[in-house]
Amino acid sequence: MSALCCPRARTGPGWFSALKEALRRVFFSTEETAPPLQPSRAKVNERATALLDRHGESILRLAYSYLHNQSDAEDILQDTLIQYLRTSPTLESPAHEKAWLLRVAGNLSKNLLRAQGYRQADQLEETLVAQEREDLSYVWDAVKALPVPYREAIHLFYYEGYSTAQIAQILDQKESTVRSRLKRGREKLKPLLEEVGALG
Amino acid sequence: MDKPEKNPYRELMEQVNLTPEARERILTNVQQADLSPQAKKVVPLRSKQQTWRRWASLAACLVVVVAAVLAVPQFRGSDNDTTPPQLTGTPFHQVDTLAALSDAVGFPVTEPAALPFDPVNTAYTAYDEGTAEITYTGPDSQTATYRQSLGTADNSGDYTLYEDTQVVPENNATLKGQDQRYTLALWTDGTYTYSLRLSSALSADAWQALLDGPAP
Repeated sequence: MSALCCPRARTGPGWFSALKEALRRVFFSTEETAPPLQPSRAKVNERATALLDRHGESILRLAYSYLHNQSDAEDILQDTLIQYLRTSPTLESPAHEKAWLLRVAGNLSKNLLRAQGYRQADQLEETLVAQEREDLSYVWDAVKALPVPYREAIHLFYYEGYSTAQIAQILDQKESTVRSRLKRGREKLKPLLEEVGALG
Repeated sequence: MDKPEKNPYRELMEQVNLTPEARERILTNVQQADLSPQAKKVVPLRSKQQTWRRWASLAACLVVVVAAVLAVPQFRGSDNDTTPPQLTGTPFHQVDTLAALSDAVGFPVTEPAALPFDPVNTAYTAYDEGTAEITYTGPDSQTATYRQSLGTADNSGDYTLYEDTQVVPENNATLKGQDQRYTLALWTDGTYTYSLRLSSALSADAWQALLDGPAP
């Protein structure tokens, strides 16, 4: 019988070896990894400016939602950028980059909150009073009174527009937990929101 | 990802902005920060026997996961089921008073004998696993976090490796901190375990006075 008729069945292109190698790299580090070459300072500065322009507002506002203080929120923004530049994480897309930054900012904010609590000065409240925006003052007072886990879900949903699945990834929680906290946060805000215009 | 349509909360957050001065300050600080990454540590090569043992453990884990998925079909929800699953309980919830906190955790909660400041705000939190927490905030943003739980295990939730540990025999309390100044105290009366964590460190003598409470 000709070899062409019934060619010997081949195994895949070493798929098992490739899988084994991938698992080995994940679980069994066997070589020293030298620190990556540092990009020039000018490049780093350029990246810092680009990050601040792209995501600075989002990070600042998320931090403010935790800390209720402009100065603290700016410190968190600064620390988040430093963390990013120091760690140089491998990210798949701009959306992934933003999610990474928000996760870090959230964790840093919660650490600061645990360490020092809330400051007295709430510049947003002062701004709303100065602008005579009583409607938004009510919303802010209500949101501020929510426990932190509800507030962070509310912020990421209503300000950033993330889905519950995306929020769960950012906060490293189960999606069911996020949905529950969003639901309970809305329940607490509902009477107020019906008055000033529902969040939906 | 697109931001959601205008809603009051978005409108609120859009009032929070970075001034040009703050932007410059942050950029300057970031640009001057030490950004040197850490080198990864060497993990020594394992022997063949150790390597095979590891593979065997990994295989065993995979078998357990597959068995769990196949053997417990009720955990596999329908793709058409859009009803969010109901949680059986939240990990914690806040209450308004000490009495409500005692009710929530199922045992009488006693406040700390004294604090290093006069609190301007008090928050009561009941954790579902049976810990009562009271957070006091002072006029200069100092905080004191007090916890009480059944049992004798450390309930502070503080896993910091403190350099300095000291026992206060009079109160049977353990203080944790560094350089002879302590931010955390742990004690038990045999039935309940207590912890008090302060934002500002105190000396051992100050802690003893605090734990003794105000003079009658």
